[in-house]
Parts: sequence; C-alpha cells; structure tokens
Amino acid sequence: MLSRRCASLLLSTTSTSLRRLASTTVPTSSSEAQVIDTDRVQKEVFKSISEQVDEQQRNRLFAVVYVNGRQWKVSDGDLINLEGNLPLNVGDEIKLEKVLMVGGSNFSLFGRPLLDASSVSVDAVVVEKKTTNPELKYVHLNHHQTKFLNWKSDEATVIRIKSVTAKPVEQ
Amino acid sequence: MPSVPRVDRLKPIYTAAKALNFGWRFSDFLKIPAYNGISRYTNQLHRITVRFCKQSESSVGVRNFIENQLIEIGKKNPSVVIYAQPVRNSNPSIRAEYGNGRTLQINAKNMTESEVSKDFHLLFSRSGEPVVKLESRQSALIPSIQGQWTPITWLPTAMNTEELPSKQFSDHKSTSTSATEYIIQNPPK
Repeated sequence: MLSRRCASLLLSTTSTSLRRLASTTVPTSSSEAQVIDTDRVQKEVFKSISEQVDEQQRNRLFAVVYVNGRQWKVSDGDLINLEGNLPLNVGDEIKLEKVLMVGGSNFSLFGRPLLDASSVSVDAVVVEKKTTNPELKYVHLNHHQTKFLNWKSDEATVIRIKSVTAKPVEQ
Repeated sequence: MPSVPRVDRLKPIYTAAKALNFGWRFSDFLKIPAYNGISRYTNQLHRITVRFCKQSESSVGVRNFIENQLIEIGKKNPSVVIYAQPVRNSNPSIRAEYGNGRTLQINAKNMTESEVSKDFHLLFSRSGEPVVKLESRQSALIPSIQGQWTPITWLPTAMNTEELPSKQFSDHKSTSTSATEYIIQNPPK
C-alpha cells in the first residue's frame, strides 16, 4: 500500500546486494542517470524500511505534515503554533492526515504528494488556545496632528504532536 | 529615549509605543508547562474567580453571564473550581489561577455578556504561560533525527582519495541528453 504511493526510496544503510548491483552495471558515462528498480531490490528496500518502522524497535520517526497552510517537520513531542482560532477545543485529539513525508534515522519515504493516510499516522492534541503577543502599528505624521496607534493581536492554537507512527510496508 | 519610558504624558506614551516593536521585548520559545499532552492532556486552569458588584451598572454583563452561562460551564468542567464573589462597588474582574502558579486577571468593567463569555473561555483554554513574542513557530525535543545536512553529506566517498580536480567529478550531470551526446549516440546516416 505504502509502496504504491511512494515516489522514491532512499536508503542510507548500504545493503550488500544494492552495492553489488550498482557496481556490476556501471553507467557508461557519468552523465547517465540510472534507475535501480528490480523486484529484488524493491523487496530488500521494503524489508529494511519495515524493520526500521517496527514498533518494537521504538525508532524515532519524523514526518512532514501540511497544516494551516504550511509544511511542518514534526516528531514525537513537538509543539507547533498554528495561526488563528481553529474550530478545535482544548484537549481535542486530532489526526494529521496530510503527510508528505516520513523518515527515520536510516530512511526517508516521500509521497507524491501525499502518503497514504492509513499507513502513516500523526496524532496530535490541542494543548492551548491563546492570543498572540500584540504588534504595534504606529503612524505619526509630523505637523498634521495625526497619530494612529493600532494594537494588532491574533489568536493562535498550539498543538502537541503525540506520536508519529507508520505501518510496515506491504509486499 | 530614556531607558524607562515615562507614561504620565501623552507624547511619551506614543514615543514609547513606537519603540516597543523595535526595542527590547520579552521573547521566548514555544512552551507548554508540565509536559502537558505528551501522554495525556490535563486542564491547566485550577480555579477561576469572578468578582462583581450586585448593583453597579458596570457589572451588568458579568451578572448576566453568571445568571445564564456560568452553571453550564461549571458542569462541563468539573476539574475547575469556580468562585462567584460579590464585592460591593467594585470593578468586575475575572481572575484565573493555573497549575504553574501564575494568575491572569481580566478587568470586565462595562463588558457585555458575550464579551465576558469570550474572555472566560479564553482563560479556560490558556495554559498559564505568559503571552510573549515567539522566537519560533515550533519547538522540538530533538532538533534533528537524520542529523543536520551539510553540502558534503551525500557526496560519494570515492572523492576522498581522488586527486582533484578530476574529470570524473567535474562532469556536469543531467538527466536530459545534450545535443552532442544525442549526435554521438545516433550518428547521422
């Protein structure tokens, strides 16, 4: 499922067969790009990602999620400050479903543009709703007896990322 | 500008206000007290006191709020202690105390019922940390998982032993074939 949606798989752990394959079929000139895409390589990549993602290993994952009009790189326990008074109450648990990328210490998995929401889950809690610190808009026109002082303050919603988890890749 | 701006004259107020955005201000990173929300969320508001006058005109909104909405809010939030404290001839105020020991107070003088309600709900959803300018929109426990990227992070290690500049690493790499390459590969008949 994950495999259908992922565009490219980068694996920094150099497995022996990957290296062997790369060395046996050396491109004739360095300008030629080469796509390594055989079933065997795919299986190996999927297998090693599944090991990394496994919950028993307790590897720390991060994800790039799209919330509030921007992309956030989040991991477990992160706080993010969203602009505006969002239709959420304090203490609400939400699941961030627009996940653009998931990564661990040894792999990165990109969606095009999104990863499947059922395979990656980013859970979050709303921990605070507050006002932002006021910014001042000050205008003073000399000799015109004109002064404007606007205190501009907006509302903000603070979210805590509870967990970033992913399901193992199906083969 | 003096180091402590005077606020007893109108002009210094404006001058001081002008400097506020550019001068020194409190700023901090995004924080939530007591690791709240890491395993579960607990409401940080512990008790909230509404002070009002039973007769003066400036407390009308607060009195209406107490009459119409306060009981409902109390039932919904059993963890919060709510006091309604009539004080004769006082300015109405709402005072909230939080788990981190801080107190917030809002002056509710001449507020309407809806304004009082809005502020009351704001105090309920606050964590008790002071509102300051944020240094960053996000705060993370661990800054990077894959390590910080540098320009040489993904360079091939073969470059380490090579005498530079070498032709192998100086080639321009492109996925599209150049006109020269195309002619070499498909020579004209």
